[in-house]
Amino acid sequence: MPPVLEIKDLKTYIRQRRSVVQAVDGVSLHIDAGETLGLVGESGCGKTMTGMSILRLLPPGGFIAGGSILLDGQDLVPLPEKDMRRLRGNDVAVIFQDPMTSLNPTMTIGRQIGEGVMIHRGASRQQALERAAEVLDLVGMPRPKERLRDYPHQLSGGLRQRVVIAMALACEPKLVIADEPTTALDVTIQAQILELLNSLKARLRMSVLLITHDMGVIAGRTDRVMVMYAGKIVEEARTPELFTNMHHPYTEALLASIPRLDQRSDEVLYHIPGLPPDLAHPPAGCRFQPRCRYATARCQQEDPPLAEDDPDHPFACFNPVGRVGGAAA
Amino acid sequence: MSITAAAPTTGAAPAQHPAFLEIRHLVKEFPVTSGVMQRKVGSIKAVSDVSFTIKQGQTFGLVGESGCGKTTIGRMVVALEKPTSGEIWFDGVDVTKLRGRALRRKRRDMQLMFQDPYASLNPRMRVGGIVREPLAVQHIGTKSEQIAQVRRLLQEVGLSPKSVDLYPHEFSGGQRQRIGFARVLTLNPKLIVADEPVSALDVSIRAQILNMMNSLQKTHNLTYIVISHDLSVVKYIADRIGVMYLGKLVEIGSGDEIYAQAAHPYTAGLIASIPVPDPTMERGKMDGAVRGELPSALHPPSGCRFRTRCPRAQQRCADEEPPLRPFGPQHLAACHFPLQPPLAPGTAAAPGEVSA
Repeated sequence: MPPVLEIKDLKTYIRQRRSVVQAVDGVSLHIDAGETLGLVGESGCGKTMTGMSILRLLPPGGFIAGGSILLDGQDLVPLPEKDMRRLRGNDVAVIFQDPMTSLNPTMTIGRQIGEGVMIHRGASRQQALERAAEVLDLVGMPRPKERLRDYPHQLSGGLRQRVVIAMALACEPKLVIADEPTTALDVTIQAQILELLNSLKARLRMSVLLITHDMGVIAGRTDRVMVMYAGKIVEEARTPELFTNMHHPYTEALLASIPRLDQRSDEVLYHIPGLPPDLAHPPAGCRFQPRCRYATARCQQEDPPLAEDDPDHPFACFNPVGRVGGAAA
Repeated sequence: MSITAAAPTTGAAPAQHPAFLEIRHLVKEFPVTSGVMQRKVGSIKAVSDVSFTIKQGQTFGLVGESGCGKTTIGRMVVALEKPTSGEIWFDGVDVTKLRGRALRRKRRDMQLMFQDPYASLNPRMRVGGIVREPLAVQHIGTKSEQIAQVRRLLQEVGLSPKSVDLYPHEFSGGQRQRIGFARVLTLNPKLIVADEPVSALDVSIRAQILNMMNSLQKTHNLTYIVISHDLSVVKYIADRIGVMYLGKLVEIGSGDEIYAQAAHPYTAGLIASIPVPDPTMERGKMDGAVRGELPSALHPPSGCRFRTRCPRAQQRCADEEPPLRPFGPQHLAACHFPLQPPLAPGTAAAPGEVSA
């Protein structure tokens, strides 16, 4: 079966007054039907820009400089804005990070959820409200029918995020982009929302692109993971493989720098020295090289390609972790 | 209730102050007003009868969900907020009784480190001025001495001395948090209350700041109260941890006691809710996580406040508020049906005794 989404060599840049930021620099990925792909990285690594490029919801100055984004085989990059609108919220929906700001405070929940159904499906107001109650029920909102007339401020953070998810599901999209869906929530609510997303995905056979900085969230909720650093994919593997057998030093360092509950308190936490590079002027060679503990002279001159000697586990590094002497070309 | 887990010296007159920092029966109520006249219609007990002690040079972690009162406690400790009742004994003085000049002098010893490095530094001041400001306010040293001190501090937190001429926006989040620490350290405090010191930062930067906090603690003999919603961060940095729920301290103990032998169902649920960067563990769990939503603090549940979300709750939990009971020499929890057997009364080394 062909993948639901296939991105090839995507380049998304942001034009600034004196420079161009290469926010996404040659990213390729695919998501199969019913699959959850995790995209993990720190702020500014381009993970959100990759997700928003799919829907072409880019910040001022942002543009797609190259590559293709195939949704069910159709390239979205050349599509005019009019067609993109038909797509947003219909074939592809987004769950944004902050439920406090991603809902319209002046509209009732019922109308907000139903709006997409009216626009994309030509439903009447009554049908749209019925659909809204249906999806609210689906996301576990207590007493969904009574909630339709509520405004966002009448709900707690967790319930608001359920509304945002309901909104995303209303038109039965093929692909849901969840951009840090639980970062603004308390841990106990986060666990509930992640569980909900997982069960919905299985029930509705959606594909999910889960964008997050949290390795813990990635670990439990994805089938496959791509690690991004400074606009590039540095490693990709099936989730269990990535956590047990990582090859890229950045992946290793990222995992080592998270304090773990089962860790002894007197152990010194590993930290990555320095800062991520300025993407208007990225360093020569490997972009992680200035912060990498295994970097050699070659890393400063040559940019390591995403080596695919193992097609299920590509990584971009000359001196991979757990491989003696650097096996990759 | 006075939890003097440190030494069995209390039980006597409350004028004693055995610990470096001792918080006794702290209560903070915020009025809820309504209408143009701002008539008081009720009150939210943000902190309700909390007591704990901290030894000098130690780190005490306060964890809990948003709205549990952990930040309010931190603000009261550094005297930014007045408690409705209760005492805060710091270094031999009840901070809540201090006024005017005495309070201002005491403030040198206790500093608050803010959460958001983007909002807590004045964008119109250069870093040098930001870090020097506390010295200027407290009239300590001549201007050139102050400037030398600023350079020394910036170096200590890992910033180049050139930084003095730059503005906050020229720094990343992690660097700004370092500036915040330099500023907090200028007055040589004994106690630093750090409110979510790393939650606005990326993982790789978070580890840098946590390690810096640990090394500063050793070189300056600092005592920390670290407030965070992230139990893994608190467990890493704290010697002892207090778990709060809706204004109440529900469990208190060492990091290992809290993590490996949690007695309170809320603590256990909180631990189970944290996503772990390990796929095999992460997929296996999910049953233990806390269900439901936080009840309104305006009308907290009767008896045990956690009972509405607790898998072990019974009728007794609604009728009777559970007191803090000892589960180990330094380990206390407030639950009628705990996950661990409590120490038998009488054998307890800690006089973790209770009064309402």
